[in-house]
Amino acid sequence: MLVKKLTITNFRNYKQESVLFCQDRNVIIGENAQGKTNLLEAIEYASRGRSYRTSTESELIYRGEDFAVVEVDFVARDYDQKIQIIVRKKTDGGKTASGGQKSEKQIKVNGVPKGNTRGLKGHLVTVGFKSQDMSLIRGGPADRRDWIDDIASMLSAGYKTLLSRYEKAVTQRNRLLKTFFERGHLTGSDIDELKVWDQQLATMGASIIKHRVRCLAEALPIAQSYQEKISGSREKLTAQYYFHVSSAEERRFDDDESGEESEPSVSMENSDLLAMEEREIALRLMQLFKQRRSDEIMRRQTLSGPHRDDVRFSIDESDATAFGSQGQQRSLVLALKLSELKMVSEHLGEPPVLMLDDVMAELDLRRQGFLMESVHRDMQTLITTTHLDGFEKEWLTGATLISVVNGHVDKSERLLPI
Amino acid sequence: MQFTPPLARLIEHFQRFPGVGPKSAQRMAFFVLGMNKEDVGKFADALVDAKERVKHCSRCYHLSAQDPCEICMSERREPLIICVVADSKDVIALERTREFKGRYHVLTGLISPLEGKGPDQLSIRELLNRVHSDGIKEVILAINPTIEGDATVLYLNNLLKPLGPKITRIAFGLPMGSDLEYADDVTLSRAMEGRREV
Ligand SMILES: [Zn+2]
Repeated sequence: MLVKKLTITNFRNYKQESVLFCQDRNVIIGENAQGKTNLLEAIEYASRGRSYRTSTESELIYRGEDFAVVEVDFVARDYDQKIQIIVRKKTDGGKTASGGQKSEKQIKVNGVPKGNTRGLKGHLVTVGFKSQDMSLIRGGPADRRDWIDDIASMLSAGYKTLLSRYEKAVTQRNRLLKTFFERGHLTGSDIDELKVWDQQLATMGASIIKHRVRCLAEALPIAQSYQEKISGSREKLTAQYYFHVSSAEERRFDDDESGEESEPSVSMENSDLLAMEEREIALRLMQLFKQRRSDEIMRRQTLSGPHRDDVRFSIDESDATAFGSQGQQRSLVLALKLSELKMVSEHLGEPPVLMLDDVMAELDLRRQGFLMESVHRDMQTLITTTHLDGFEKEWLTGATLISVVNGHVDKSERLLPI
Repeated sequence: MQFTPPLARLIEHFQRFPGVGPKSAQRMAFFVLGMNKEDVGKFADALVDAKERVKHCSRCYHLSAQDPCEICMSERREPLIICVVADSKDVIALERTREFKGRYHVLTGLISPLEGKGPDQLSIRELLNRVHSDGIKEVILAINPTIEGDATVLYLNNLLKPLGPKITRIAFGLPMGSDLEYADDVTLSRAMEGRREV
């Protein structure tokens, strides 16, 4: 896959800009806050229809303007394609939940209007590696769930729909718990009603867990081989699936202060879970719902299920999040992201576009070198950086250097052999 | 400058209708002003008349000006098969097919805690009574495959099963004349589940 040209109008700090990319290595260079990352954000926006940096899309629009346009010309499956997204501020001025201005967008793929972001799926595929990705190890359960859900929805067409149906059912169930809490006592028919939502969540939840576990089982051996190469030693990489994290852990990440101390986390080795039938997993979830029923009513929240689960990685049987050194954690994130890249490439039958946002700051020279080596020569790479130190001369030769100054591409040149 | 109170009030009333925004409400109100007085009178009568005469049938909860409704009273209907639907619009849709010869039961909604609808707000108890006392042989659940629809089906199934009737749910699949390739994943997998021998 290959991004040939990005054209943006009123996007972030760009009034109007058009950037050409070469088919292999593109280095976007500039001081901080000049708009390097905005270029990658625009491409990712065209790829997924949402930005990883904001949920309020009106923030993407240049200050004082009413709309922004992102256009990406790219080659995928051997033909020239084009994605265009126009974001407009809504004139009847509602506010989003987070207080931002509401917006609406129009999406066109190869000139064909698409009703929603699902229509973008599979056209332009990017894999990103940014400093925020360290949250895969250092962050909370939600960061790891998002990562695995992203991969799972790529590998299985129905996964996204399954997730959104599950989330709707969780919202319904939470409202029911709230009603019970307010009423203060439970009747037999209340229990019958709750059971129906338990059954729904258990069936869909088991299917979600099964998808995740299969994904992990596919990613782990690949990640382990990268991990070994990076660390230069044989380290065994395993994953544990946490059926729910203990209240103490939840509070660390959720700023949810209402919980009582409850039973400790329940986890299983991913490999054991892989061998379990979906039906058994569903029964297990039903048990968890039953066990935590009174706690759930107290807190008016569904406390078990895939929306609360976590995946932890262990190196030689010690938890990477809790015990890994910084170096180990960085290597592991790199190995996991590279395994994602490999899975995506295999699934697509061609390499995706690789976007590296300021990751060099996060990696030492040796890991940088490994990353550059592992990136397939025929994979288009877009990388942002503040300086060229640390890049191998050989790697830079023939690369396109795009200099960004204050929302403007100052110059674009091909680096010739010295 | 705002609209004169009688007009503003009319616009506000239209705006309370589902799916009607301020602009459509204005258009409707202006349309009313443009109608002749006799037609406006008929319109007002129709509103009051419908509200006064249309009630839920005391057996099946279908909306009707008769109680019991035309369907419950019909001698030609198979009395031991009940088709359960969420609301009266579904009865009309199914009746158009002329396929179904049994009677109906309208739940008057689906289980949805977010809308404050639990089993007690629906006509579920009445359905159970009917199935029990009339000795119903088959219950067909014609309920949409949404999250709320699925929850309602599970709930009904748990309670109906001990009463002994055959319980089926209508199949969901591809719209006629549609293309496999353009069907979404959920529709396709539901269609797979509901496949049958040819
Ligand atoms: Zn009736």
